[in-house]
Amino acid sequence: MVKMNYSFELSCDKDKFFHVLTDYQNLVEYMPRQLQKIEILEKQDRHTIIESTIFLRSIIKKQFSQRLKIDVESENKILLEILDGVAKGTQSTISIILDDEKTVCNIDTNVKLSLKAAILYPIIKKEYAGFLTKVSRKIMENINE
Amino acid sequence: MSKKMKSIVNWKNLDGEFSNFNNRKPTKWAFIEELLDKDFYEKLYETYPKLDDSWDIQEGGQYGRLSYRKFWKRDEARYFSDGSEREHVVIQEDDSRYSESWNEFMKILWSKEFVSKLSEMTGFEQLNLKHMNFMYAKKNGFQNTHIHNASDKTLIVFVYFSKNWKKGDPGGTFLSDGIDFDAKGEKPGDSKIIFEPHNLDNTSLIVLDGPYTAHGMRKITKDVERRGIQVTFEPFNTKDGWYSDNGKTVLEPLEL
Repeated sequence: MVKMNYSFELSCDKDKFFHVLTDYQNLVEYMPRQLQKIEILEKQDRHTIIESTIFLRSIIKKQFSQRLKIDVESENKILLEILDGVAKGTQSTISIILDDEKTVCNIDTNVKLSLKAAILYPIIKKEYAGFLTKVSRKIMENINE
Repeated sequence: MSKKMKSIVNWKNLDGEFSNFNNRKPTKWAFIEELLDKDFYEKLYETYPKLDDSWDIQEGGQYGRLSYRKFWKRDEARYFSDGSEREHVVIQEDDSRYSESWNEFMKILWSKEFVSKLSEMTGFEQLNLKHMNFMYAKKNGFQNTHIHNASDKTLIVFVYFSKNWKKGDPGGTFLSDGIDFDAKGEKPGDSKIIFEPHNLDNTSLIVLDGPYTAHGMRKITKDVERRGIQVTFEPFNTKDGWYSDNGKTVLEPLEL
């Protein structure tokens, strides 16, 4: 398991940002084209299971799907866990906190990969911050438009 | 060398710049006028790809720029096994998106004869064509001064296809003595231009990459088209791969 952290200052309305994050089906709009589809499989109050379809042609030969469990713990915190596939057991926490009068979003992830996919750890480590920077900027820009 | 190939490239003009290339320091470079036979150049000029949606816009980025690129047939970018990103490499085959003349020109660029000539010029063995892209810029286009430093044996060849270029006009790839030269002309800086092509009509700038090879493009202020190509050569062999890859292995996509 490899721990990765990414933080950024929110430059948009916190509630709107949180709303975008939890509007799962529309999240695809903000993601790179490699994330092809998000489908809601189960929804109960604050607990949702989604299935995401991904095609990372340069690192995995075929398109694949994986289920994710999402728990909205509070208005400031979301817990995610990958339920199957090569990254089964990977957990992420998205939390929004007030830090020295700034609103900061932290995305902490424990990445777990199957033995077969362990070769991908260095790539995920290198791409983690860049990927989240792009997605978060896109969301904030869209909200501020 | 075939008769046709012999007549398409003005080898004499290329040969004539060997000593200039090797005597220049710290950046080795040469500027070649009339690189190609006039008739063949005209065919390339006439069929240079038109700017349309199929071009990639190069905006912002690491160095700051506004220009357009369109690539020759190339492989998947992928990653190296240490997680670093790998750039696409050109596929040395015909590309039906481009004219017959362009396909013929590409065959020359990756030919044993042309590559041997570059090896003779640089002293680098096993050179091979790695990247090729069309590069286009128009009014307001620019590229901030930057240094690739991919390796000390990476050779960048620019060939220009813009007629009636007015001497002193921005648009050619300039070389500077440092990265502190503002290509947009908005800020003062300590670096100065050491060379900027004054003629972009059938000319070529050949530059050896390395830690001092600062270059860019001043902001174009007139309503003109700067048309060119950028071709990169580097030593390659099947055992060690490309020189600038430093022996890193390419990560093949996983079968899950």
